[in-house]
Amino acid sequence: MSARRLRPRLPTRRGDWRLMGRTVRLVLGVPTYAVGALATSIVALSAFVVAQNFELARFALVGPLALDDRISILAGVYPFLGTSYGPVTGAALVCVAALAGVDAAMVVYHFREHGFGARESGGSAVGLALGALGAGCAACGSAVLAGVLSLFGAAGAGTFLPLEGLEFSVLALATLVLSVFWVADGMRGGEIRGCPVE
Amino acid sequence: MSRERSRDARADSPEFSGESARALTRRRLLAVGGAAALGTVAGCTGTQDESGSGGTTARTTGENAGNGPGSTATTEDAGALLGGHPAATMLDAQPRLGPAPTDAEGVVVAFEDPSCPRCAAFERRTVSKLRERHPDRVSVVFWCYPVVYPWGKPASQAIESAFAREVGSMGSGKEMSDGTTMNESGTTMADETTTGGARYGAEQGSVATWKLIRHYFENQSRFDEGNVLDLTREFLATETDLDADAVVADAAAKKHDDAVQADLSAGEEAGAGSTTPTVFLFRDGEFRTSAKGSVSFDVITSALGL
Repeated sequence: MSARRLRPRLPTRRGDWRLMGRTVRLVLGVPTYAVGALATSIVALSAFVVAQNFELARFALVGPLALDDRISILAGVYPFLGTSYGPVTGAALVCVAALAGVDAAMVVYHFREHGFGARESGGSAVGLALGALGAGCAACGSAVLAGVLSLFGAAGAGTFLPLEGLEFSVLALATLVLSVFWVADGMRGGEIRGCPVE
Repeated sequence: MSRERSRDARADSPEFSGESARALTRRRLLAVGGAAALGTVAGCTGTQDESGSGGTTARTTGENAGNGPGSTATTEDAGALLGGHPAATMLDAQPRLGPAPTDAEGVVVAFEDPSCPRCAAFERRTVSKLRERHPDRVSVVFWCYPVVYPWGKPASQAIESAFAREVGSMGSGKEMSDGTTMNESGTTMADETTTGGARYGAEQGSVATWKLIRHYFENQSRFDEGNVLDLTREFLATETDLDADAVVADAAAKKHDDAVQADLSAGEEAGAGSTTPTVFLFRDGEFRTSAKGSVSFDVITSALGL
């Protein structure tokens, strides 16, 4: 791999976004990958929200409750089904989770069809990590962020961020978009279901 | 850290004398009043699990159920009845809504910061609904837990100061300005005030304190570290019968800092960490679970099995 190839490209042209959209559409057109993307999105969102309320989720699963109470509690920790997240934060979390699912489907497709690139997989991992961090900030502004920042003696500093922690979700979205672009770019010139990727 | 010390500090206050001075601490107020009330409500309380774990809580029956007079337990008793959980200590020394923790089917212990937007959402959506639908079944206990924005700290000092003055200044059987009546056990008869259609349960004689708490939550964007006490004085003077200048002076001097620190220590020990709101849920004397963030009314009622 040349040095030029290792330099990360950014989706700066309209054609780059078209490439991304077309590649995503073609990959998710395969039912297996569509289901995989959906499952990954649900798992990612669940991981984000359960991380905020692990005790409550555990109680919902193993506590002495009726089935409808279990379902009510578990549903209540998700954005829009419960009240733990505001509309903006909830939307950001759902977008991060959805994009994580799309990204995972594309990475798996790329891996199976063309081999695996370190750049693409690295972008996905960073995107997921930032998504988790964003979820932590969003729940009340501090949980995961405080844990991370306290390593540097700055617990509570998250409350001084202008978007009160939403920055991490935005950063996660940007990272995941980049990851999707890099995967799509890596597939450029190939074929998906007989259709050229270009 | 002893909350008792900060309560006893009120003994120096000029408005306290004689009989009132004996009610300087909330704990003593409840203990002494509880003993007196015991005679009057003997036979009205239900069975109580002596082991303090897993049994049914003491209950009042009839018209007084959930409204305070039947609350005969001391603070220590309340803690024991709730399984000795760190979040259940000194519950009688906190502002609360609804029946006494010892008389309630469900107890919601909430660690909240006046400056926390999610706490405001929790109060607006969840607590108001609990009061509307389960005014006599669920006790909601408020702990000041200022860990979010800097103005939450002086606001918490003001809440503790207001509460100390309000609860400490009420004598036995005193008719309060809002029409509630303080009985001998240091609790109020049901407050029938309504806000937004929600019937308020007993407010433990802390109506003005709750007004202040709600004022902080409803107007968070107006406050910062520099203006919070001035705005607090303005609000207390116009909307409550409390001595606004005295409350703000106490808050500025951190006269009740022990109470604030006790709340912070209790929260840390209970595992609230740096997350607000964090709620601890108890049902029939047993700890059920904790929840972080502004969880919904449905989550609370499902977890409590109501």
